[in-house]
Amino acid sequence: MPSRNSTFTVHPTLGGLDMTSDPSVLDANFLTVADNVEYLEAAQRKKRLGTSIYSTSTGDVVGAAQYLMTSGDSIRAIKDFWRYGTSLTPTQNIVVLTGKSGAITGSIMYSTGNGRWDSVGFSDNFGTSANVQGKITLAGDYAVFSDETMSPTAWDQGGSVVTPSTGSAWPKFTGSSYHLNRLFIYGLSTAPSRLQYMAANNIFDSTGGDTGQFTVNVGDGDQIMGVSAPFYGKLYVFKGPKFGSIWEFGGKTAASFDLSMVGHGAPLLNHRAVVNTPTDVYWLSQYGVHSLQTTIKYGNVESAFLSLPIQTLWRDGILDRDEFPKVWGFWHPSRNIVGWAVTPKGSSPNKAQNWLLCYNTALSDPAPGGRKYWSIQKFGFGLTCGDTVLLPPTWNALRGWSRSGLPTMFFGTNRGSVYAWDSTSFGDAGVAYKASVRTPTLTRFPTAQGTIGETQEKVFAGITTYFVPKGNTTATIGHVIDRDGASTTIPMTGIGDVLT
Amino acid sequence: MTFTLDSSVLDSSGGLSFEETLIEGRGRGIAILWEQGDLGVDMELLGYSIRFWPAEEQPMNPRE
Repeated sequence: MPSRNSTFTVHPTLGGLDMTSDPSVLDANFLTVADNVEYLEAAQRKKRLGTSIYSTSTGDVVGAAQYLMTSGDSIRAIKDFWRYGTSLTPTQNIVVLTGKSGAITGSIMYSTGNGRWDSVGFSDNFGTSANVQGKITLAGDYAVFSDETMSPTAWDQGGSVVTPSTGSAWPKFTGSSYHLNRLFIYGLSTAPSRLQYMAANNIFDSTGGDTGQFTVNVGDGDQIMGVSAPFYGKLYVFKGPKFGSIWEFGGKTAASFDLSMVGHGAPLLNHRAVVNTPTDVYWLSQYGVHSLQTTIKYGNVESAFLSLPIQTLWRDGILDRDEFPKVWGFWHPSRNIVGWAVTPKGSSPNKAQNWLLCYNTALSDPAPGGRKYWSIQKFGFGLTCGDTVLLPPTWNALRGWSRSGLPTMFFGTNRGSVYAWDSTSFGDAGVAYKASVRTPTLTRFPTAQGTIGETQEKVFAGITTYFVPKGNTTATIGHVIDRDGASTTIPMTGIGDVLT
Repeated sequence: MTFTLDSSVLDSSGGLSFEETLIEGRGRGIAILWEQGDLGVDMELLGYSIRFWPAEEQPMNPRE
Protein backbone atom coordinates (compact mmCIF):
# COMPACT_ATOMS: atom_id res chain seq x y z
CA MET A 1 0.00 0.00 0.00
CA PRO A 2 2.10 2.96 1.05
CA SER A 3 4.56 2.92 -1.76
CA ARG A 4 6.25 6.25 -1.78
CA ASN A 5 7.41 8.82 0.71
CA SER A 6 6.48 12.37 -0.29
CA THR A 7 7.17 15.80 1.10
CA PHE A 8 5.01 18.82 0.57
CA THR A 9 6.90 22.06 1.23
CA VAL A 10 5.58 25.60 1.68
CA HIS A 11 8.68 27.71 2.08
CA PRO A 12 8.56 30.67 1.86
CA THR A 13 4.95 31.21 2.83
CA LEU A 14 3.65 33.90 0.52
CA GLY A 15 0.16 34.51 1.81
CA GLY A 16 -1.81 36.18 4.56
CA LEU A 17 -4.92 35.61 6.61
CA ASP A 18 -8.04 34.44 4.82
CA MET A 19 -10.97 33.84 7.15
CA THR A 20 -13.59 34.09 4.46
CA SER A 21 -12.76 31.23 2.10
CA ASP A 22 -13.45 27.65 3.09
CA PRO A 23 -10.24 26.40 4.77
CA SER A 24 -10.26 23.21 2.71
CA VAL A 25 -9.95 25.07 -0.60
CA LEU A 26 -7.36 27.65 0.38
CA ASP A 27 -3.87 27.72 -1.04
CA ALA A 28 -1.34 26.34 1.45
CA ASN A 29 0.39 29.72 1.64
CA PHE A 30 -2.56 31.32 3.39
CA LEU A 31 -3.57 31.27 7.02
CA THR A 32 -6.90 30.75 8.72
CA VAL A 33 -5.63 32.23 11.98
CA ALA A 34 -3.08 35.07 12.24
CA ASP A 35 -3.39 36.40 15.77
CA ASN A 36 -0.77 38.68 17.26
CA VAL A 37 1.60 38.27 14.34
CA GLU A 38 2.99 40.63 11.74
CA TYR A 39 4.46 39.95 8.32
CA LEU A 40 8.03 40.94 7.65
CA GLU A 41 9.40 41.94 4.28
CA ALA A 42 9.65 38.38 2.96
CA ALA A 43 6.24 37.52 4.46
CA GLN A 44 7.71 35.80 7.51
CA ARG A 45 5.11 35.38 10.24
CA LYS A 46 6.54 37.02 13.32
CA LYS A 47 5.11 37.47 16.79
CA ARG A 48 4.04 41.09 17.15
CA LEU A 49 5.96 43.44 19.38
CA GLY A 50 4.77 44.30 22.86
CA THR A 51 3.55 47.48 24.52
CA SER A 52 4.98 49.59 27.33
CA ILE A 53 3.25 52.17 29.46
CA TYR A 54 4.40 55.69 28.65
CA SER A 55 5.40 56.94 32.08
CA THR A 56 8.41 57.95 34.08
CA SER A 57 8.84 54.42 35.32
CA THR A 58 11.27 52.13 33.61
CA GLY A 59 9.08 49.21 34.57
CA ASP A 60 5.66 48.22 33.43
CA VAL A 61 3.90 47.80 36.74
CA VAL A 62 0.49 49.37 36.45
CA GLY A 63 0.12 51.68 39.42
CA ALA A 64 -1.76 54.83 40.23
CA ALA A 65 1.32 56.99 39.83
CA GLN A 66 1.65 55.92 36.23
CA TYR A 67 -1.87 56.68 35.17
CA LEU A 68 -2.49 59.73 33.11
CA MET A 69 -6.00 59.91 34.51
CA THR A 70 -7.96 57.88 36.96
CA SER A 71 -8.34 54.28 36.03
CA GLY A 72 -11.25 53.40 33.82
CA ASP A 73 -11.42 56.64 31.86
CA SER A 74 -10.49 56.74 28.23
CA ILE A 75 -8.05 58.85 26.31
CA ARG A 76 -9.91 60.27 23.35
CA ALA A 77 -7.22 61.58 21.03
CA ILE A 78 -3.43 61.73 20.88
CA LYS A 79 -1.09 63.63 18.56
CA ASP A 80 2.64 64.01 18.04
CA PHE A 81 2.90 67.82 18.00
CA TRP A 82 6.06 69.25 16.41
CA ARG A 83 6.30 73.02 16.30
CA TYR A 84 8.84 75.26 14.58
CA GLY A 85 7.45 78.75 15.20
CA THR A 86 10.25 81.06 14.07
CA SER A 87 13.09 78.71 14.88
CA LEU A 88 14.81 76.01 12.86
CA THR A 89 14.86 73.86 15.95
CA PRO A 90 11.43 72.31 16.45
CA THR A 91 10.01 71.27 19.79
CA GLN A 92 8.12 68.04 20.28
CA ASN A 93 5.14 67.65 22.55
CA ILE A 94 2.76 64.72 22.73
CA VAL A 95 -0.74 66.04 23.31
CA VAL A 96 -3.78 64.10 24.46
CA LEU A 97 -7.44 64.77 24.87
CA THR A 98 -8.67 62.93 27.91
CA GLY A 99 -12.14 62.04 29.10
CA LYS A 100 -12.28 63.83 32.40
CA SER A 101 -10.07 65.56 34.91
CA GLY A 102 -9.88 62.84 37.54
CA ALA A 103 -6.49 62.94 39.18
CA ILE A 104 -5.22 65.70 36.94
CA THR A 105 -6.10 69.32 36.28
CA GLY A 106 -7.93 69.83 33.05
CA SER A 107 -8.46 67.34 30.29
CA ILE A 108 -6.02 68.50 27.61
CA MET A 109 -2.56 67.31 28.54
CA TYR A 110 0.89 67.35 27.03
CA SER A 111 4.21 65.64 27.55
CA THR A 112 7.60 66.86 26.43
CA GLY A 113 8.75 63.30 25.91
CA ASN A 114 9.94 62.55 29.43
CA GLY A 115 7.06 60.27 30.41
CA ARG A 116 5.27 62.94 32.46
CA TRP A 117 1.99 64.70 31.68
CA ASP A 118 1.00 68.29 32.42
CA SER A 119 -2.06 70.38 31.73
CA VAL A 120 -1.94 72.82 28.82
CA GLY A 121 -3.79 75.33 30.96
CA PHE A 122 -7.30 74.39 29.91
CA SER A 123 -8.79 74.00 33.35
CA ASP A 124 -12.21 72.64 32.44
CA ASN A 125 -13.14 69.29 31.08
CA PHE A 126 -13.18 69.11 27.29
CA GLY A 127 -16.01 66.65 26.86
CA THR A 128 -16.25 63.20 28.36
CA SER A 129 -15.11 59.69 27.58
CA ALA A 130 -18.52 59.03 26.06
CA ASN A 131 -17.70 61.38 23.20
CA VAL A 132 -15.62 59.36 20.77
CA GLN A 133 -15.25 62.07 18.13
CA GLY A 134 -12.23 63.84 19.63
CA LYS A 135 -9.79 65.15 17.05
CA ILE A 136 -6.45 66.94 17.22
CA THR A 137 -5.20 68.59 14.02
CA LEU A 138 -1.86 70.31 13.57
CA ALA A 139 -2.44 73.62 11.77
CA GLY A 140 -0.58 76.90 11.71
CA ASP A 141 1.78 75.82 14.51
CA TYR A 142 -1.21 75.01 16.70
CA ALA A 143 -2.82 71.79 17.86
CA VAL A 144 -6.53 72.27 17.23
CA PHE A 145 -8.90 70.35 19.52
CA SER A 146 -12.49 69.59 18.54
CA ASP A 147 -15.22 67.07 19.24
CA GLU A 148 -18.38 68.90 18.11
CA THR A 149 -19.87 69.17 21.61
CA MET A 150 -17.27 71.59 22.99
CA SER A 151 -16.13 74.95 21.65
CA PRO A 152 -12.99 74.16 19.65
CA THR A 153 -9.74 75.42 21.05
CA ALA A 154 -6.07 75.48 20.09
CA TRP A 155 -2.71 75.28 21.79
CA ASP A 156 0.68 76.45 20.53
CA GLN A 157 2.87 74.85 23.23
CA GLY A 158 2.55 78.10 25.19
CA GLY A 159 1.05 78.78 28.58
CA SER A 160 -2.58 78.26 27.76
CA VAL A 161 -5.04 77.44 25.03
CA VAL A 162 -6.29 80.09 22.65
CA THR A 163 -9.53 80.64 20.80
CA PRO A 164 -10.14 82.70 17.66
CA SER A 165 -9.54 86.42 18.06
CA THR A 166 -10.12 87.28 14.40
CA GLY A 167 -13.72 87.89 13.39
CA SER A 168 -16.29 85.52 14.82
CA ALA A 169 -15.55 82.58 17.03
CA TRP A 170 -15.18 79.19 15.41
CA PRO A 171 -18.43 77.33 15.14
CA LYS A 172 -18.45 74.02 16.98
CA PHE A 173 -17.09 71.40 14.62
CA THR A 174 -16.29 67.71 14.89
CA GLY A 175 -13.08 67.49 12.95
CA SER A 176 -10.67 69.45 10.80
CA SER A 177 -7.97 69.06 8.19
CA TYR A 178 -5.09 71.38 7.29
CA HIS A 179 -4.52 72.09 3.60
CA LEU A 180 -3.02 75.03 1.66
CA ASN A 181 -2.35 76.85 4.94
CA ARG A 182 -6.07 76.73 5.65
CA LEU A 183 -8.07 74.95 8.29
CA PHE A 184 -10.97 73.00 6.81
CA ILE A 185 -13.71 72.12 9.29
CA TYR A 186 -16.63 69.71 9.09
CA GLY A 187 -19.18 67.98 11.25
CA LEU A 188 -21.07 71.15 12.18
CA SER A 189 -24.26 70.42 14.08
CA THR A 190 -25.96 73.35 12.38
CA ALA A 191 -24.87 72.32 8.87
CA PRO A 192 -24.03 68.59 8.64
CA SER A 193 -23.15 68.74 4.94
CA ARG A 194 -20.99 71.85 5.08
CA LEU A 195 -17.25 71.91 4.41
CA GLN A 196 -15.97 75.29 5.61
CA TYR A 197 -12.50 76.74 5.22
CA MET A 198 -10.67 79.42 7.15
CA ALA A 199 -8.56 82.16 5.59
CA ALA A 200 -5.14 81.26 4.25
CA ASN A 201 -2.39 81.76 6.86
CA ASN A 202 -4.91 82.43 9.63
CA ILE A 203 -6.63 79.32 10.94
CA PHE A 204 -8.74 81.47 13.26
CA ASP A 205 -10.36 83.62 10.57
CA SER A 206 -13.68 81.96 9.78
CA THR A 207 -15.63 84.92 8.41
CA GLY A 208 -13.21 87.18 6.48
CA GLY A 209 -13.04 87.74 2.74
CA ASP A 210 -10.72 84.81 2.11
CA THR A 211 -12.97 82.28 3.84
CA GLY A 212 -15.71 80.19 2.35
CA GLN A 213 -17.69 77.00 2.34
CA PHE A 214 -19.05 74.23 0.18
CA THR A 215 -22.33 72.47 0.73
CA VAL A 216 -21.82 68.86 -0.20
CA ASN A 217 -25.05 67.34 -1.53
CA VAL A 218 -27.13 68.61 1.35
CA GLY A 219 -30.18 66.51 2.05
CA ASP A 220 -28.93 63.30 0.49
CA GLY A 221 -29.52 61.38 3.71
CA ASP A 222 -25.91 61.65 4.83
CA GLN A 223 -23.64 64.09 6.58
CA ILE A 224 -19.95 64.80 6.12
CA MET A 225 -18.35 62.18 8.33
CA GLY A 226 -14.70 62.85 7.63
CA VAL A 227 -12.12 64.54 5.46
CA SER A 228 -8.74 63.09 4.54
CA ALA A 229 -5.44 64.82 5.05
CA PRO A 230 -4.07 66.33 1.80
CA PHE A 231 -3.40 63.63 -0.75
CA TYR A 232 -1.63 64.61 -3.98
CA GLY A 233 -2.82 68.19 -3.56
CA LYS A 234 -6.43 67.33 -2.85
CA LEU A 235 -8.74 66.61 0.03
CA TYR A 236 -11.22 63.74 0.00
CA VAL A 237 -14.54 64.29 1.70
CA PHE A 238 -16.46 61.27 2.97
CA LYS A 239 -20.19 61.35 3.56
CA GLY A 240 -22.05 58.79 5.63
CA PRO A 241 -23.03 56.99 7.75
CA LYS A 242 -26.08 55.70 5.86
CA PHE A 243 -25.41 55.55 2.13
CA GLY A 244 -21.96 57.00 1.62
CA SER A 245 -20.25 59.06 -1.05
CA ILE A 246 -16.72 60.27 -1.72
CA TRP A 247 -15.90 63.75 -2.99
CA GLU A 248 -12.67 65.20 -4.33
CA PHE A 249 -11.85 68.76 -3.32
CA GLY A 250 -9.31 70.42 -5.60
CA GLY A 251 -7.92 73.84 -6.50
CA LYS A 252 -5.22 76.00 -4.95
CA THR A 253 -7.02 79.27 -4.16
CA ALA A 254 -10.51 80.14 -2.99
CA ALA A 255 -11.32 81.24 -6.55
CA SER A 256 -10.34 77.89 -8.03
CA PHE A 257 -11.63 75.50 -5.38
CA ASP A 258 -13.87 72.82 -6.86
CA LEU A 259 -15.64 69.73 -5.65
CA SER A 260 -16.65 66.62 -7.55
CA MET A 261 -18.03 63.22 -6.63
CA VAL A 262 -15.63 60.35 -7.30
CA GLY A 263 -17.42 57.45 -5.68
CA HIS A 264 -20.48 56.37 -3.80
CA GLY A 265 -21.29 53.79 -1.15
CA ALA A 266 -18.83 52.54 1.49
CA PRO A 267 -20.15 54.97 4.11
CA LEU A 268 -17.63 56.22 6.61
CA LEU A 269 -18.78 55.92 10.23
CA ASN A 270 -16.24 58.08 12.04
CA HIS A 271 -13.73 60.64 10.82
CA ARG A 272 -11.06 58.85 12.85
CA ALA A 273 -11.38 55.78 10.62
CA VAL A 274 -9.80 57.59 7.63
CA VAL A 275 -6.11 56.75 7.24
CA ASN A 276 -3.72 58.69 4.98
CA THR A 277 -0.51 57.21 3.66
CA PRO A 278 1.75 58.65 0.95
CA THR A 279 0.26 56.32 -1.65
CA ASP A 280 -3.38 55.84 -0.71
CA VAL A 281 -6.24 56.82 1.55
CA TYR A 282 -7.92 54.00 3.46
CA TRP A 283 -11.09 53.86 5.52
CA LEU A 284 -13.32 51.42 7.36
CA SER A 285 -17.03 51.51 6.59
CA GLN A 286 -20.17 49.66 7.59
CA TYR A 287 -19.23 46.98 5.07
CA GLY A 288 -15.48 46.55 5.12
CA VAL A 289 -12.15 48.25 4.55
CA HIS A 290 -11.60 50.32 1.43
CA SER A 291 -8.79 51.97 -0.49
CA LEU A 292 -9.41 55.20 -2.36
CA GLN A 293 -7.28 54.10 -5.31
CA THR A 294 -8.96 50.72 -5.57
CA THR A 295 -12.49 52.04 -5.05
CA ILE A 296 -12.12 54.68 -7.76
CA LYS A 297 -10.49 52.25 -10.17
CA TYR A 298 -12.66 49.17 -9.62
CA GLY A 299 -15.79 50.56 -7.99
CA ASN A 300 -17.47 50.03 -4.68
CA VAL A 301 -17.94 46.27 -5.02
CA GLU A 302 -17.01 43.62 -2.50
CA SER A 303 -14.38 42.13 -4.79
CA ALA A 304 -12.54 45.46 -4.51
CA PHE A 305 -12.76 45.62 -0.73
CA LEU A 306 -9.35 45.28 0.87
CA SER A 307 -11.11 43.38 3.64
CA LEU A 308 -12.42 40.62 1.37
CA PRO A 309 -10.25 37.92 3.03
CA ILE A 310 -11.59 38.92 6.45
CA GLN A 311 -15.10 39.81 5.29
CA THR A 312 -16.52 37.20 7.64
CA LEU A 313 -15.85 39.65 10.48
CA TRP A 314 -18.59 41.88 9.06
CA ARG A 315 -20.81 39.26 7.46
CA ASP A 316 -21.05 36.93 10.43
CA GLY A 317 -21.33 39.63 13.05
CA ILE A 318 -17.99 38.92 14.71
CA LEU A 319 -17.42 42.65 15.00
CA ASP A 320 -19.76 44.61 17.23
CA ARG A 321 -21.58 46.88 14.79
CA ASP A 322 -22.93 49.04 17.59
CA GLU A 323 -19.35 50.03 18.33
CA PHE A 324 -18.41 51.00 14.76
CA PRO A 325 -18.71 54.74 15.53
CA LYS A 326 -15.70 54.30 17.84
CA VAL A 327 -13.44 52.79 15.20
CA TRP A 328 -10.23 54.67 14.55
CA GLY A 329 -7.40 53.95 12.16
CA PHE A 330 -3.67 54.47 11.94
CA TRP A 331 -0.64 54.18 9.70
CA HIS A 332 2.46 52.66 11.20
CA PRO A 333 5.19 53.27 8.61
CA SER A 334 8.01 51.40 10.30
CA ARG A 335 5.93 48.18 10.42
CA ASN A 336 4.33 48.73 6.97
CA ILE A 337 0.79 48.53 8.27
CA VAL A 338 -2.41 50.45 8.31
CA GLY A 339 -4.92 49.30 10.87
CA TRP A 340 -8.17 49.91 12.68
CA ALA A 341 -9.14 49.41 16.30
CA VAL A 342 -12.42 47.53 16.46
CA THR A 343 -14.59 45.91 19.09
CA PRO A 344 -15.31 42.21 18.73
CA LYS A 345 -18.65 40.89 19.92
CA GLY A 346 -18.36 39.83 23.54
CA SER A 347 -15.04 41.55 24.04
CA SER A 348 -13.39 41.45 27.42
CA PRO A 349 -13.36 43.91 29.09
CA ASN A 350 -16.88 44.65 27.94
CA LYS A 351 -17.16 46.76 24.78
CA ALA A 352 -13.40 47.30 24.67
CA GLN A 353 -11.77 48.11 21.35
CA ASN A 354 -9.15 45.47 21.90
CA TRP A 355 -8.61 44.19 18.37
CA LEU A 356 -6.45 45.84 15.73
CA LEU A 357 -7.18 44.77 12.17
CA CYS A 358 -3.82 45.23 10.44
CA TYR A 359 -3.19 45.35 6.68
CA ASN A 360 0.36 45.12 5.43
CA THR A 361 0.82 47.77 2.75
CA ALA A 362 4.26 46.61 1.65
CA LEU A 363 3.24 43.06 0.74
CA SER A 364 -0.41 43.36 -0.24
CA ASP A 365 -1.79 43.79 -3.73
CA PRO A 366 -4.84 46.03 -3.37
CA ALA A 367 -6.33 45.02 -6.73
CA PRO A 368 -9.26 42.60 -6.73
CA GLY A 369 -7.88 39.06 -6.51
CA GLY A 370 -4.51 40.28 -5.26
CA ARG A 371 -2.99 38.74 -2.16
CA LYS A 372 -3.77 40.63 1.01
CA TYR A 373 -1.75 40.27 4.18
CA TRP A 374 -4.07 40.79 7.14
CA SER A 375 -3.49 39.94 10.76
CA ILE A 376 -5.37 40.62 13.97
CA GLN A 377 -3.62 41.98 17.05
CA LYS A 378 -5.47 41.20 20.26
CA PHE A 379 -5.00 43.13 23.48
CA GLY A 380 -6.25 42.74 27.02
CA PHE A 381 -7.42 46.34 27.19
CA GLY A 382 -9.21 48.85 25.00
CA LEU A 383 -7.35 50.97 22.46
CA THR A 384 -9.35 54.17 22.23
CA CYS A 385 -7.11 56.28 19.98
CA GLY A 386 -3.60 56.35 18.59
CA ASP A 387 -1.01 58.22 16.60
CA THR A 388 2.42 57.54 15.16
CA VAL A 389 4.92 59.32 17.37
CA LEU A 390 8.59 59.87 16.62
CA LEU A 391 10.00 58.26 19.74
CA PRO A 392 11.10 61.07 22.07
CA PRO A 393 14.84 60.92 22.89
CA THR A 394 14.31 61.45 26.61
CA TRP A 395 11.88 58.60 26.98
CA ASN A 396 13.97 56.44 24.67
CA ALA A 397 16.91 56.92 27.04
CA LEU A 398 14.72 56.30 30.07
CA ARG A 399 13.67 52.94 28.65
CA GLY A 400 17.21 52.08 27.63
CA TRP A 401 16.25 51.69 24.01
CA SER A 402 18.08 52.81 20.89
CA ARG A 403 15.10 53.85 18.83
CA SER A 404 15.10 57.60 19.30
CA GLY A 405 13.12 59.27 16.52
CA LEU A 406 11.74 56.01 15.13
CA PRO A 407 8.05 56.16 14.23
CA THR A 408 6.26 54.30 17.03
CA MET A 409 2.57 53.78 17.62
CA PHE A 410 1.29 55.40 20.79
CA PHE A 411 -2.09 54.16 21.95
CA GLY A 412 -4.56 55.98 24.14
CA THR A 413 -6.33 53.33 26.17
CA ASN A 414 -9.38 52.83 28.34
CA ARG A 415 -7.00 52.41 31.30
CA GLY A 416 -6.26 56.11 31.52
CA SER A 417 -2.70 55.52 30.32
CA VAL A 418 -0.83 55.86 27.06
CA TYR A 419 0.89 52.72 25.80
CA ALA A 420 3.73 52.63 23.28
CA TRP A 421 3.91 49.75 20.82
CA ASP A 422 7.03 48.14 19.34
CA SER A 423 8.56 46.89 22.57
CA THR A 424 10.82 43.89 22.25
CA SER A 425 9.66 42.80 25.69
CA PHE A 426 7.02 40.71 23.89
CA GLY A 427 4.52 41.52 26.61
CA ASP A 428 1.77 44.06 27.03
CA ALA A 429 2.98 46.04 30.02
CA GLY A 430 4.42 42.85 31.46
CA VAL A 431 1.50 40.61 30.54
CA ALA A 432 2.07 37.75 28.09
CA TYR A 433 0.04 37.39 24.91
CA LYS A 434 -0.16 34.52 22.47
CA ALA A 435 0.84 34.59 18.81
CA SER A 436 -1.03 31.99 16.73
CA VAL A 437 -0.90 31.01 13.08
CA ARG A 438 -2.86 28.17 11.53
CA THR A 439 -2.68 26.76 8.05
CA PRO A 440 -5.71 25.90 5.95
CA THR A 441 -6.94 22.31 5.96
CA LEU A 442 -4.58 20.82 3.42
CA THR A 443 -6.14 18.00 1.43
CA ARG A 444 -4.40 18.05 -1.96
CA PHE A 445 -0.70 17.42 -2.29
CA PRO A 446 1.23 17.69 -5.54
CA THR A 447 3.93 15.03 -5.87
CA ALA A 448 6.27 13.91 -8.62
CA GLN A 449 3.81 11.12 -9.38
CA GLY A 450 0.82 13.44 -9.61
CA THR A 451 -1.57 15.14 -7.25
CA ILE A 452 -2.80 13.24 -4.23
CA GLY A 453 -6.43 14.30 -4.13
CA GLU A 454 -8.86 15.32 -1.44
CA THR A 455 -10.54 11.97 -0.93
CA GLN A 456 -7.41 9.86 -0.93
CA GLU A 457 -6.08 8.96 2.47
CA LYS A 458 -2.60 9.95 3.54
CA VAL A 459 -0.41 8.64 6.30
CA PHE A 460 1.13 11.73 7.85
CA ALA A 461 4.54 11.15 9.38
CA GLY A 462 6.17 14.48 10.07
CA ILE A 463 6.06 18.24 10.03
CA THR A 464 9.13 20.36 9.48
CA THR A 465 9.01 23.93 10.76
CA TYR A 466 11.36 26.48 9.21
CA PHE A 467 12.06 29.39 11.52
CA VAL A 468 14.52 32.09 12.51
CA PRO A 469 16.18 31.20 15.82
CA LYS A 470 15.48 33.69 18.58
CA GLY A 471 17.51 32.17 21.37
CA ASN A 472 16.74 29.31 23.68
CA THR A 473 13.00 29.32 23.10
CA THR A 474 10.17 26.95 22.29
CA ALA A 475 6.83 27.03 20.54
CA THR A 476 3.81 24.78 20.49
CA ILE A 477 2.93 22.97 17.31
CA GLY A 478 -0.42 21.34 16.92
CA HIS A 479 -1.99 19.41 14.10
CA VAL A 480 -5.44 18.19 13.23
CA ILE A 481 -5.78 15.25 10.84
CA ASP A 482 -9.40 15.12 9.77
CA ARG A 483 -10.89 15.59 13.24
CA ASP A 484 -8.15 14.13 15.42
CA GLY A 485 -5.67 16.53 16.94
CA ALA A 486 -2.49 16.53 18.99
CA SER A 487 0.11 19.08 19.99
CA THR A 488 3.64 19.15 21.29
CA THR A 489 6.37 21.59 22.24
CA ILE A 490 9.26 22.09 19.86
CA PRO A 491 12.56 23.87 20.41
CA MET A 492 13.13 27.00 18.34
CA THR A 493 16.87 27.22 18.83
CA GLY A 494 19.37 27.35 16.02
CA ILE A 495 20.76 24.17 14.58
CA GLY A 496 24.18 23.39 16.05
CA ASP A 497 23.34 26.30 18.24
CA VAL A 498 26.56 26.74 20.17
CA LEU A 499 29.60 24.52 19.75
CA THR A 500 32.49 25.09 22.09
CA MET B 1 39.68 33.51 10.75
CA THR B 2 40.76 30.44 12.65
CA PHE B 3 38.28 28.06 14.25
CA THR B 4 39.62 26.36 17.36
CA LEU B 5 37.73 23.44 18.84
CA ASP B 6 36.81 23.95 22.49
CA SER B 7 37.29 27.70 22.31
CA SER B 8 35.60 29.13 19.22
CA VAL B 9 31.84 29.55 19.14
CA LEU B 10 29.80 28.31 16.22
CA ASP B 11 26.30 29.67 16.30
CA SER B 12 23.62 29.70 13.66
CA SER B 13 21.29 32.04 15.48
CA GLY B 14 19.97 34.73 13.19
CA GLY B 15 19.80 32.41 10.21
CA LEU B 16 17.41 29.76 9.03
CA SER B 17 16.81 26.78 11.20
CA PHE B 18 14.32 23.97 11.14
CA GLU B 19 12.78 21.44 13.45
CA GLU B 20 11.23 18.15 12.43
CA THR B 21 8.28 16.94 14.46
CA LEU B 22 7.27 13.32 14.09
CA ILE B 23 3.55 12.75 13.98
CA GLU B 24 1.32 9.77 13.39
CA GLY B 25 -2.01 10.05 11.74
CA ARG B 26 -4.07 8.86 8.87
CA GLY B 27 -6.68 10.92 7.13
CA ARG B 28 -7.62 13.03 4.17
CA GLY B 29 -6.39 16.42 5.33
CA ILE B 30 -4.22 18.15 7.87
CA ALA B 31 -4.13 21.61 9.45
CA ILE B 32 -1.18 22.87 11.49
CA LEU B 33 -1.14 25.44 14.27
CA TRP B 34 1.89 27.19 15.78
CA GLU B 35 1.59 29.12 19.02
CA GLN B 36 3.97 31.08 21.20
CA GLY B 37 2.49 32.68 24.31
CA ASP B 38 5.41 33.17 26.68
CA LEU B 39 6.36 36.55 28.06
CA GLY B 40 9.49 37.94 26.45
CA VAL B 41 9.70 35.24 23.80
CA ASP B 42 9.67 35.90 20.06
CA MET B 43 8.68 33.60 17.20
CA GLU B 44 9.41 34.01 13.50
CA LEU B 45 8.20 31.36 11.07
CA LEU B 46 9.45 30.98 7.51
CA GLY B 47 7.56 27.97 6.27
CA TYR B 48 6.86 24.28 6.71
CA SER B 49 6.97 20.87 5.12
CA ILE B 50 4.67 17.91 5.57
CA ARG B 51 5.96 14.35 5.16
CA PHE B 52 3.40 11.74 4.21
CA TRP B 53 2.70 8.54 2.33
CA PRO B 54 -0.28 8.18 0.03
CA ALA B 55 -2.70 5.55 1.36
CA GLU B 56 -5.95 4.09 0.02
CA GLU B 57 -7.33 5.95 -2.93
CA GLN B 58 -10.85 4.99 -1.93
CA PRO B 59 -10.98 4.83 1.88
CA MET B 60 -13.19 2.08 3.24
CA ASN B 61 -13.81 3.86 6.50
CA PRO B 62 -15.77 7.11 6.09
CA ARG B 63 -13.68 8.78 8.78
CA GLU B 64 -10.99 7.57 11.07
